[in-house]
Amino acid sequence: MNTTMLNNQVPVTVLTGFLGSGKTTLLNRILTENHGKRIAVIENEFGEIGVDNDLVIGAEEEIFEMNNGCICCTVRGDLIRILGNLMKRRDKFDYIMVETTGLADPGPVAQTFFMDAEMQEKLQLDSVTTVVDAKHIWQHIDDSDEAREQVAFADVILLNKIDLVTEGELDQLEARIRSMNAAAKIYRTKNAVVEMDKILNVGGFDLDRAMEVDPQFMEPEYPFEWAGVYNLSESAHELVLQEGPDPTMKVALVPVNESTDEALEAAVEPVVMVFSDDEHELSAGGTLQPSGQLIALNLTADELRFDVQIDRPGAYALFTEHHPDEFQAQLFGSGALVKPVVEREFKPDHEHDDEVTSVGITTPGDLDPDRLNDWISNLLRTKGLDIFRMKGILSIKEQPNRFVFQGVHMLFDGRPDRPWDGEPRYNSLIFIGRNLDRTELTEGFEACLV
Amino acid sequence: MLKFFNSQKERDPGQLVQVKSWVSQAFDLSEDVSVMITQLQCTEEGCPPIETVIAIMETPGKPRQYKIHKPLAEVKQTDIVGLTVG
Repeated sequence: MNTTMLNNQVPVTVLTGFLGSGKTTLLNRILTENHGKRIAVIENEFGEIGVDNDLVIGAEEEIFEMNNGCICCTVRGDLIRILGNLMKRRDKFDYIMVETTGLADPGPVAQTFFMDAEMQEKLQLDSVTTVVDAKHIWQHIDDSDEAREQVAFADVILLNKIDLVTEGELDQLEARIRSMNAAAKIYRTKNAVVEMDKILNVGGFDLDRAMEVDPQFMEPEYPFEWAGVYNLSESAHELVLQEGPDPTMKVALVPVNESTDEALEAAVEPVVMVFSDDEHELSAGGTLQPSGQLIALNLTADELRFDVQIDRPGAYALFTEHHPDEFQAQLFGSGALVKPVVEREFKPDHEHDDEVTSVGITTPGDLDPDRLNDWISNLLRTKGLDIFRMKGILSIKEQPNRFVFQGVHMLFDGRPDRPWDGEPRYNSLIFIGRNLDRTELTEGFEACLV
Repeated sequence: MLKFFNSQKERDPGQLVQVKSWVSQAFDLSEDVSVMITQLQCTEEGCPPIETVIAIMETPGKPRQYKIHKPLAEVKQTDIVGLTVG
């Protein structure tokens, strides 16, 4: 999809982020770095002024809706006008940055680049880059549609101002952002200092790069976030926790054959079943046994210590609803810390329904074009407003080339890509949006397979 | 190949420039006025399968929008002139 070099399209970066996130700092850095590009900047706050070799042009947010029976989309009228006029001075710049206001909805901005036929010919949306204030984003991420959408639309996310938060808080924030947008590249920055090649010409809309997704994201979701296998002796053990984000945490302790990744893997599916059973509450001071039961640890006492009773020495796997780090959970044997021999993190499935999430589907096989056509048409018509971004590589029956596509809400751009050339044919898609039903999307897509 | 997938891509840059020029001429627009042209597809019964949408972005906040119920490739100058009398 990244055909910038081939057909002289101008790459465009859309820069979003709340007020105070460091967006303007990043923009100034881009304008002053020696990257050799002449950049035209479209931003909200200023009139047209010259900055060295760059152009800075003001825009006033002007939302413009277009619809027919099937498709409804909103574009930015101001951007269309400015870009139209800018392209008359095509020889004056070789890159465009669009800086949005802190409260701007990135949807209409991104749709603008898909809507106008001429713009699609001449411009290439390189990425939506979102700057996040690592300290203050928590004030917005749960109750601001704009903040969530800025994260959801992003191809690149800068977690900025990392000097104001702890490493643990950053890990927590990154996990939250990753749960919303599994496809974005995330960088941690201070004063928006980042290498220019992470921001400019990143090919966020280049499917091969866009589909380089964290493999954990493509896994099924689990009712637990972590599991560790311990070698435990018959001696007394104790699980010690600190107060965490929830008043309870479900756990299951089960014997496994040996302390290996394979033995842990073999225990995963049976423990998924355990997590669907009724839970047994255990208060602090109580005893946890490798019973294969689902135990809900009550974490409301002052001292959160639980005895662990092991009758036979061997390997035992502890599965926990949340990551142990969230509760600083540690296991002690005879007063000494016992560390897991192997451990694994799992993708959680407990996001709220109305949250922004990502759904990834990867499956081998060829697709029936008619069924796919019907499914995706219906999906976009009925769910397009909730689907912020989608990207994918598809294997269409009897077609020698890969088919790549991406979309923003109801707008869709797809084309044949390079030949498969003997490579195993597969399909890989990502949807990022609100109220996404993973099962429905997966089953709908798989029904299109030949 | 996919009808739905292909429809947005079946564009002829020459035809696009031609139609934009007909629009500017028919509506007597100055050079600064942006004209947006896109094709919207609809798969619902009773809707034209594909239509060409023309938006004239003359007055900020008040774009004039017109639809021609045929693909861009089939739009003729008379279709554009017809919009000015509607």
